Amino acid sequence: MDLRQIQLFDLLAEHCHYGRAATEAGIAQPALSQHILHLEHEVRCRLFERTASGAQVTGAGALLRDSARKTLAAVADLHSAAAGLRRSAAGVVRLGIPLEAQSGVVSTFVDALIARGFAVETETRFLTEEADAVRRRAVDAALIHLPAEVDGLRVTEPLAAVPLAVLLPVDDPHASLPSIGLADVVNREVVPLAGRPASAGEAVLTDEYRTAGLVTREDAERVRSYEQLLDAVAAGVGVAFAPAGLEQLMVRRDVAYVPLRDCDPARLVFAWHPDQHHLALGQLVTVARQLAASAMPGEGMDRAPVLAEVCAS
Amino acid sequence: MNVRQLEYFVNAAHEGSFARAAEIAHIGRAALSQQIRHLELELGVTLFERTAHSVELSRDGEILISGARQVLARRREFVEMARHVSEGRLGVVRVNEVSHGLGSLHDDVDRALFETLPHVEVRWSRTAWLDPFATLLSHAADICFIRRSDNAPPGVSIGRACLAEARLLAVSARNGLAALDDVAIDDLPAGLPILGCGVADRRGDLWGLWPLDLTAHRPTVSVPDSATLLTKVALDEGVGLVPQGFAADYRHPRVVYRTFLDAPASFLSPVRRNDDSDAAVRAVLEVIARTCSKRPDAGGQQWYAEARSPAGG
Repeated sequence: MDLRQIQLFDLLAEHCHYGRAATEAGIAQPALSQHILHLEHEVRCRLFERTASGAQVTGAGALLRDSARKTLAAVADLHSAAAGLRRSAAGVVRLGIPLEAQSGVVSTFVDALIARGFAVETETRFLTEEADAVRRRAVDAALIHLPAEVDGLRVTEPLAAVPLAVLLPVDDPHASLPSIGLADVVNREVVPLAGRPASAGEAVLTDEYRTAGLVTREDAERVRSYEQLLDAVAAGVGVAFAPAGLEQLMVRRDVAYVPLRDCDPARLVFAWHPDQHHLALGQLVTVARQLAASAMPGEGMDRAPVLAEVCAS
Repeated sequence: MNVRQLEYFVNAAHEGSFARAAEIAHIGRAALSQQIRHLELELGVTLFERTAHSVELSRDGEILISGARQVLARRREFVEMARHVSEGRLGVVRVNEVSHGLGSLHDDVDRALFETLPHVEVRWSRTAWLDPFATLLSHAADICFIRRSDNAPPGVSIGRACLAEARLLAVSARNGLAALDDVAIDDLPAGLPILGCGVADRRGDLWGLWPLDLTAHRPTVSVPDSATLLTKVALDEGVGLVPQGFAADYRHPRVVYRTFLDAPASFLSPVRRNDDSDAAVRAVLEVIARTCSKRPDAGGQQWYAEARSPAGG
C-alpha cells in the first residue's frame, strides 16, 4: 500500500463522507471508492461501514487510524524539512511571530534580519501552536510565549515580558474594573484550548490558575484560534487569559480585556529546533541573544530560576 | 512522493551507488535514477552529488534521509498493524467500571465492542468508587469510569460524560423520611449528615455539580467506600445521595432508596491516562462514545452541560 492510499484512508475517516473526502483529495468519488476497496482488500478487513449518509469507520479502521496519522505526519515532516532547505538556499527565513507582538521587539528583530540580507516571511499561530510549529519545522524559528511546552527545543533568555489580560463577556460585573486579580475570577471556568495537554496556552493559562480555583471546562469545545477564543468568551463558555496586546488587534464590542495584575507576565523567547539546518540560524540566534541581553528586566522577569532551567536544557 | 522513491533514495545512499541499489530493487539503473530525480523535483532539493563513478549524498540529502527513513518506518508499522488487525491479534484493553457498574450501558458497549472491535480483547473489572485515578496511574486498567469530578490529577484526562443517572436518597428504614415517596432537600432534618465518598476534600462528584453549596446547608461526613456508606445509612448515622446504579447493586435490609427531588443527575465519564497512545485504547473509547450517542438517554452530555450552566441550576 502506498502513501496515497493511507492518506485517502485518513481523509475518509475524518470526513465520514465519500463526496467530501474525494473533493478534498481532488479526485473523483468512484476513484476514492476504488482506492479504499483496494486498501481494504490489501489489509483484509473492512475499514468503513457504508451508510446512507456516508462512511463510518469500523473498529478495525479506528485501530489503524492512529498509525495512518503517524505515517502521514512523517511525510509532512519530510516535506517541511525540504521546504526549509529550499528557503535556506534562497536566503529566506520563515519566522513564527506572536499575533499580538507585531510591533516593538518583533519589528526590531525582523529589521535586524533584513539588514543582514535575509528575506523574512512571517506567520502567526494560535498560542498553543507556536512551539509545535517549531517542533514540526513548519517555521525555521519563532518567537514564542513562555511558559510553554518546549521539550526538545532550544530557547533563549526572554526578549520581552508580555502582560496578560483576562477576557470577560462585556456584561460581566468585573468587565469594567481597571484591573483584575486572580481572586476576582476564582471558581470561574476557563475556555479550554486545543493542543496537547501541556502546550503553551494550557500551561500559561491554566496550571497556575487551577491552584487559584479556576477549572478548565472539559465539556466545551476546545478552541484553536483567537477568533474562537473570543467567540467562546462572548458566548459565556468561560473566561480566558491572553496576552493583553491582543486588545489592539482583536477589538470586539462583546468582549472586555481586563489587565491581570497579580500574575507573572508571559515571556517572549526565541525558539528553534536543535536539528534545524537553516543557514541563517546562527545569525538568527545571535540577533535574538543580543535583543535578550538588552531587554530591560521588567516586572515579573525575576522568575529567572525557572527560565534558566529551561535554557540550560 | 511514494514508498518506492523513498526506498530507492535510502538504498542508493546506503550503497553509494545507483547501480547496486537498482540491482537490489530488481529494476534498471536508469529507471531508479529517474525515480530519484522525480523525488528531487518534488522536494525541490538535490539529494545526490553525482560523479562519473559513484553517487554521494548531498548536504541536503544527508539532512533529509532521516526523514525519509522515518516515513518508511511509520509506513512499515502501519502495514504491520494492519496485519495484526486482520489476523485478529491486537492488544488487551482493561476497562474498569465504577463499583456498581455501567448498568444497561455495559451491555450496549460490550455488544458494540464485540461487533465492531473483534480484534481487541476487552477485560472488564470493578473497583470501589473514587479509586479510578489510582487504578489508571498504577496501570491496573487502561480505561476507567468516574462519577464526574473536576479534580483529575496530572497524567489522566476525563472524557465527555457518557451516561446520566438519576440520583436517589439512601435512608435508614427506621428514619421518618422512609415514609415519604419523594424527598426534597428541606425535608432533611437539620442535624442529619450527608454521607459521601471524598466529601471532606470536596472530591465527590456531588460537589462539582451541586447547584447549591450543600456543605453550607448540611453537615457532611466522609466515608471511604460504598459498603461503609451503606452500613452507616442502615444505622441511621446519615443519608446518602447515590446514583441509581448504586441502588441497583447495593441492597441492605435496613436501607431504602427514595427519589430525591433536589439532586442533579449523576454523570459518568470515561477516564484514561494522558500518555496512552495505544490505538486499541482509543478505539475502545471511540466505540464507547459512539454507543452512548446512539442511546435514547444520549442526553447525558447535554444534561451535564445544563446542570453546570447557571441557568440550568
